[in-house]
Amino acid sequence: MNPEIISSSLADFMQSLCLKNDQSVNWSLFLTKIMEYTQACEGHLHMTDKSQKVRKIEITASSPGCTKCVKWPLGVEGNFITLKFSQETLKVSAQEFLHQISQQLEQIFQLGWQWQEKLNLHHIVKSCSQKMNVNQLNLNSKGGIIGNSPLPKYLIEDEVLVWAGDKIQFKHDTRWLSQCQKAMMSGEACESTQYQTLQYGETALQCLLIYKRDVKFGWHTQPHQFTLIFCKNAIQPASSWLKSRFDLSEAEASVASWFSTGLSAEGVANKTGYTTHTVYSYIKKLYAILGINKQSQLTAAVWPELPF
Amino acid sequence: MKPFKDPEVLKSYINRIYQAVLEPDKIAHIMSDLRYVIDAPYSAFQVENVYTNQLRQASLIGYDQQSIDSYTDYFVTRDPWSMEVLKRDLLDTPFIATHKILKDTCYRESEFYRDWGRHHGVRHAIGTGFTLDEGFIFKANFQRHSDQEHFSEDVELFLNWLRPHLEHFVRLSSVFHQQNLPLENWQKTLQQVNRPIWVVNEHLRLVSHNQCAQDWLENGHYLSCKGGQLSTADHHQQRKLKEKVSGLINLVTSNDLNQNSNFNYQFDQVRIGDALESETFWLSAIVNDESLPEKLVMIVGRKPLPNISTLVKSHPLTQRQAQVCLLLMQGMTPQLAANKLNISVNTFRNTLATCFRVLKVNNQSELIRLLFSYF
Repeated sequence: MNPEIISSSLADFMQSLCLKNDQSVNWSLFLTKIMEYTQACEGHLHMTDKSQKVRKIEITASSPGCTKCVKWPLGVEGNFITLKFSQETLKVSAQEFLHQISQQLEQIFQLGWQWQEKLNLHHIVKSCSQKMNVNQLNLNSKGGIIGNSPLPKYLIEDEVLVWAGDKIQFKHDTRWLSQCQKAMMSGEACESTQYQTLQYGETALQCLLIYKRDVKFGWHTQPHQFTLIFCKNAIQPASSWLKSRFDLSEAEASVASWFSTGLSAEGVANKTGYTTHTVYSYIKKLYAILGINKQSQLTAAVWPELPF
Repeated sequence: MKPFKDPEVLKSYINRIYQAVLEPDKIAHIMSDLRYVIDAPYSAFQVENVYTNQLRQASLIGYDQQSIDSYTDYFVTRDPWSMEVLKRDLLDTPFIATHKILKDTCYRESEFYRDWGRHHGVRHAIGTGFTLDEGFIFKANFQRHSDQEHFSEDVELFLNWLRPHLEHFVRLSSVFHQQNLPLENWQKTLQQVNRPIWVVNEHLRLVSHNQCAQDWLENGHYLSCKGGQLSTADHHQQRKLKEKVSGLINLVTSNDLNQNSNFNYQFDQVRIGDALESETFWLSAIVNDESLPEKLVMIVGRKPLPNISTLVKSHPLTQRQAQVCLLLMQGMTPQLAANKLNISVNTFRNTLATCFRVLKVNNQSELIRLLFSYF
């Protein structure tokens, strides 16, 4: 067979999978391309994933009377393509074509498959992180953002981070980030992590800076990269959660919520609008329910269990 | 038939190039084998930055050190492969290749040949360049001595057949191995979260978990993992957990969660334990725009107590101060904690007061809160 067709068809198949960052694999385009090269009028792609679920992709061209069939295995996991043809001669030439490139086609399919698996894991991990209000930014050694990772919304809206030229910095402490980076790169500061917590409004933001010396980038490596991880938490536990967790009334829960953050009874009274006496009586009840007698014990009971 | 007209040779190279996507270091071997096929005593395979004239990575075969040293002075703006990329204004579009292998004649017309090649006896050269991102160019070229024949059209054709695959390799190996883009980093981010997180499907089969969850399973607190399945010691609790998980999954499948952000609607909790003690676990369905093959639920446990060494590492505390704080975090009263450490309550309170000053907090509750909120 003509090497030129081998080369161009394989390149087309690879292209058709559309393996790009954050983009799922385009199996139907892949199947369409195979049908184009084999001139099949109907095609099915069967894939079995780890959970033993079969995914089926089916493409039918409009010409009727497809009776001759070719079944072509891809890999070992029970994945295969079936193609239908209208003429015997087409079927024979398609079989020959597939036979010629079978090994390479399988390789391409495997790459697509692995990308799919990677992407699935990525989606799981990403949505978990987002549920936990954890976000990350990748920075280069100068403090600029690498890649096209968008800034988390709350960081822009609340103006926690601001742009200074092409680099990013904290608004309340403009030098923290660059100082940390310098210290880490020169080896003065702790190699792996730098940490700070800041509070604004009703939320506390924790920031963790992680340093990587060498970053593999395909065939070549890029030196010096930083990852900034943010975690946004409410500064007090939600009273609706306290209510269901410890079986409290609405009022008790709102008092407990403020009291567990370390406010004094007077402070709680100010926040909730109850009188100090009412607050005291609620706290007494709360202590009785939980079987404790110190404010610190309340915090120690509530804080590690906070939902995300 | 010459080897480079044989489809088998072409196919085996294509195969090897795609294999190398997952192990990019192999590409150097492939290129040096390719050098024998097309009979070029010199070959260069390199990544370099056009803006900084910096050679990032290279596999240069056949050059002596002196040659490489002088070669690096010339390599960026003057060689025909880079010139082609710059001429076409492709530099800012990542992962684009020049459209074909540049001919022998292009090389000899170039400034590069005049300034360097002629003096070093490299008369024939053929090759191509690909752009990476941020000003990096990836180049592959093959060279011959003055006393050798020029590259024939067959060689050119052969390399042109390989070129699109090489282009895919360059792009895909970066996509697969890019650590600076989300994939791997998100995973690390989740490892930083100091809470056990399990991700399960509706049959409680474990899909993913983080380090903290691994420790939890090894210590066997209420939850364990048998044959890839999350299970509890108590049969009833197991059933309850399963019910809640499938309940959440049903909610996700029947409704659009994004429209309803009600707290109780998105989360569920389950208490697992024995008669004396129990733990609350949080359940939450994973919702994603992208179609995951199956619906998943994540189970989140309580934050574990830090140990003394992590407290000392993450906060400016001494060993003793960390010890004191830790007892308080366990929910002990100062009297009990002092007894445990065999010190008087006043000494205990004194140490605590130092902690307050160092960590800039006002009372015990705030101290506990601060220490627990560290990721």
